[in-house]
Amino acid sequence: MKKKMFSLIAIVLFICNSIDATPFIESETDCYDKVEIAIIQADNAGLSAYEITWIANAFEAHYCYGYSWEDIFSLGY
Amino acid sequence: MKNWIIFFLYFFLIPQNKANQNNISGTIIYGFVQNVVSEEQKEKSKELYSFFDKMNEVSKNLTFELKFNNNESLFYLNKVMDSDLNPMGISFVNNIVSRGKYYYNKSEDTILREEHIYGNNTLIETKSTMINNWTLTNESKKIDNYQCYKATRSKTNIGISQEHNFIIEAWYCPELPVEFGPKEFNGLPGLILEVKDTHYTFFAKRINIKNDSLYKIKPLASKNIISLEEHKKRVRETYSKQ
Repeated sequence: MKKKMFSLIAIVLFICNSIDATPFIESETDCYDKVEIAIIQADNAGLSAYEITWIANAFEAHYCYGYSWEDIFSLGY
Repeated sequence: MKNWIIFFLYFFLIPQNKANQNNISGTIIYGFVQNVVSEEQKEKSKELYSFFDKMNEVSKNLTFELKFNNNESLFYLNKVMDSDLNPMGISFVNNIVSRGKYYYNKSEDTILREEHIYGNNTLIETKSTMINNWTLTNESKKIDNYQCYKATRSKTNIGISQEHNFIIEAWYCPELPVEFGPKEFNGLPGLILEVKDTHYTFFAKRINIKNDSLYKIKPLASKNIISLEEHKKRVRETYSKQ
């Protein structure tokens, strides 16, 4: 029984640690709000559709999928 | 005797001079800087401009090269030795600042822009005289000891829900008698040493002109070539559906 308890605690601690180490990803609504804001701002600034799409994709990868800016671009985006 | 002098000048010196004019070539290194944005505009679009600030910082050491001979030019992002160390800056500059490579053939009046769109490497073709309708002005300034004059033309960017018209300002130098410049900007009576595009200004950092040799310029090539009109039509169709 003790062994089982220790195993359970170990699993719980491992999961908690993992969650703590995972980069913070915002909720889907919040992150897509940020993407939407970027699209509106870029559109208002007079960027072309292609450029706006490129920025929107970068914002989505960063805010919704948790990639760092460096990672997004080093992956060949 | 007088006739002999005229004969000598006409047949030896003048053709020599013409030959030199035909043999002009050079390379210009351009830097770039974001156009000034008002504090009010920055405040309104905080997220976008803080992203731009970050990107400008990582791409500040990148430069472009314009290589030309008497008839053709090629404008492209300079190869960087540490490209693997700065993929963020390179990607930003390729996709936002310059939008690919540009080839211009003066005698054919053709501009080709290379871009990775429509799922492959595509060349977007346009006639230079169709887009480069410059208005020349008397306003002048010195750039690197060359007297330059200002010329303007309009440019339209097709966004997602709106289209924006911009006034492009180019500073060309009649002392350098070639009609080339950065990106799609050319057709002025002198080399463009500075141009204020829609969001970025390109400025000459190093000027290297040769009158005694011709650079060979390899035209951009692809199986996929579409006209600028067709490209704009596709962009409008794509975004009107959304």
